[in-house]
Amino acid sequence: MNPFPIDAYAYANRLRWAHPAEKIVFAIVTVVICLVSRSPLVCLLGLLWATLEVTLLAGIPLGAFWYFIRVPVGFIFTGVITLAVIGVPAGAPGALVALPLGPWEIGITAASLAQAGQVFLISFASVGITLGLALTTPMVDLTEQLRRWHVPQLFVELMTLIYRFIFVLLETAQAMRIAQEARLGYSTWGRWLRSVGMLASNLFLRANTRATNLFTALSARGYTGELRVLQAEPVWSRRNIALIAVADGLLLVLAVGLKLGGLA
Amino acid sequence: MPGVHGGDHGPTPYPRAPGGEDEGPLAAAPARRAVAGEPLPDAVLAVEGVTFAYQDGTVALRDLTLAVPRHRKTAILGANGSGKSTLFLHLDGILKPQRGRVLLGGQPVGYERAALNDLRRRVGLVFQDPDSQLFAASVRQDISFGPINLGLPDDVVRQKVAAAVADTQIEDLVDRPTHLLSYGQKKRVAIAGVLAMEPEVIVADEPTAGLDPEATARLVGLLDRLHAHGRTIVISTHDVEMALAWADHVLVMRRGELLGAGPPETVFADEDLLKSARLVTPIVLDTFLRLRRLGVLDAAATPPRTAAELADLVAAAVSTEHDAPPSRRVPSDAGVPAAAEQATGSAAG
Repeated sequence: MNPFPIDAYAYANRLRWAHPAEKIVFAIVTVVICLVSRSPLVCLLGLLWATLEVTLLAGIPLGAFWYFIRVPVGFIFTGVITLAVIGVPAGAPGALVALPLGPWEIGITAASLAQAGQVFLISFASVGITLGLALTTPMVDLTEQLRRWHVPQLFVELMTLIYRFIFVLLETAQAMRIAQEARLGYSTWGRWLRSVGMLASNLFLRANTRATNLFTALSARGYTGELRVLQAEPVWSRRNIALIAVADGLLLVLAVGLKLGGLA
Repeated sequence: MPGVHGGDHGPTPYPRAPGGEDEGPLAAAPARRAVAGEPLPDAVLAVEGVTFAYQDGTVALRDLTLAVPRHRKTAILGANGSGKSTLFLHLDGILKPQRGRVLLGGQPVGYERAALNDLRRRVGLVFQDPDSQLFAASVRQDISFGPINLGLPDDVVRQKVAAAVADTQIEDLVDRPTHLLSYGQKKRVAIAGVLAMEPEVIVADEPTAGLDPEATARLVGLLDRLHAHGRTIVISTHDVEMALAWADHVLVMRRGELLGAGPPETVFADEDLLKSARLVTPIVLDTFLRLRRLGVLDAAATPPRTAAELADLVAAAVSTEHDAPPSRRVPSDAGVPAAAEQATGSAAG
């Protein structure tokens, strides 16, 4: 029923009712430690924490976590290839693989490989930790928490509306696509292109109408420019706070230790 | 029909058949004439001479005058494009009449902010498409939007939300995201969102359109409960069966004009009126009229509103027939052409 499986997990996992601030703080602190330390070991540990959060605490299968993470990781992987493969002057030392090209060589050096690996791990960890947040925390909780933190109203309201209308417009787009398909709108490449164009422009018009209708309906309920709603009152969990402190504490100790020991 | 409208607010203010002693042609007068003649007593909402044209030139309302009686269940019928939705937007102050005026409790509606807020607190508008009404990601948040806009403190808002949730029986949905609800569930959440503002009048645009029979029955049950709690309910529909069974006052519109008004048995028995409004006679009433014309049913029988009531009538007629001597079975003087006009059932005692 839910076109977005990530969203479905967010509403149905064992951390659903945990305080959103706990999950947000954990995600931000862990990502920041990984980004600042830039150490592969720290990133791997951060990734491990995120995996444990998602699987052990939230009860989401490891396979699902991997399913969601593999696409961004695939992108990251193709991205870092360009970091690993570099051009160096011909005959430069340290090339592991080299392809001569005039006075230059295109190849992989130990240094470039290390750099690519580092960027890969940092990105992998950041994506994994963020995904951990996305899988365990529904958008509603995120926006509510941002409101409690006094993030500017406009920003939070836009987040709310965009999130809501993703689904409304997606339903509309799907219905239009099926209707086009039923009338052979996608049977050839040319028709495909034409149909997609029509769908996109129509969707834009629909979105516009939707916005007008929404404004009308909100006005009927006393809208005066501010989308205020009742906030939930989530409860803090001592266990979660302790876990976050221990996990991020260990991560920080590792990061600082590596930095001082000069290993990273 | 003296005294029919006078009796103040019983649960069913309209007697099924306006059973007066006068059983002359007056009682059987077509609904249309009843409109012009009768000023509705105690109208909670009314429009007077309202004209409205959209920017593209479509005239949606033409010098429309009608009234919504207080504490009643009013159904506004009309084909697509007859101006029902435009009328509803006027009733909630979303659209401002270009000519004429809207009255709430007998007072002309103002269009400055405070007056509009008051109007929208007292008149709750439920839109046809729940997706245009539900903006929040969670059901609870969405329902709380209205009461918060009334400036109520959080704990009061919480109470109102809880009450609206209980009234609409959506306890199991409150923590669900709005986008995972079915169409029928969204409809009920949309009503809860309006209900939480505790309006006197609930105006619902096509509340049963697109619902399956069970969801329709639930929704009608919900409207009945809200009505039983003392609210005035106005719906628009083109479901004549539903209007006959549910409403106790019916308004028929065509091209932005009022074509007829009155109790459903009267309005729906007027075939000409229905035809010009591009509607049809409800099957229950049509069957009843045919049976009466055939003499199976007594000419004085009260028009039924539901299939069950019709079945009771037929069963009663059949059982008396068995007791009666055979000669009475033959419909000799049933007065076939006049039958339609006797639809109010009060004629020919």
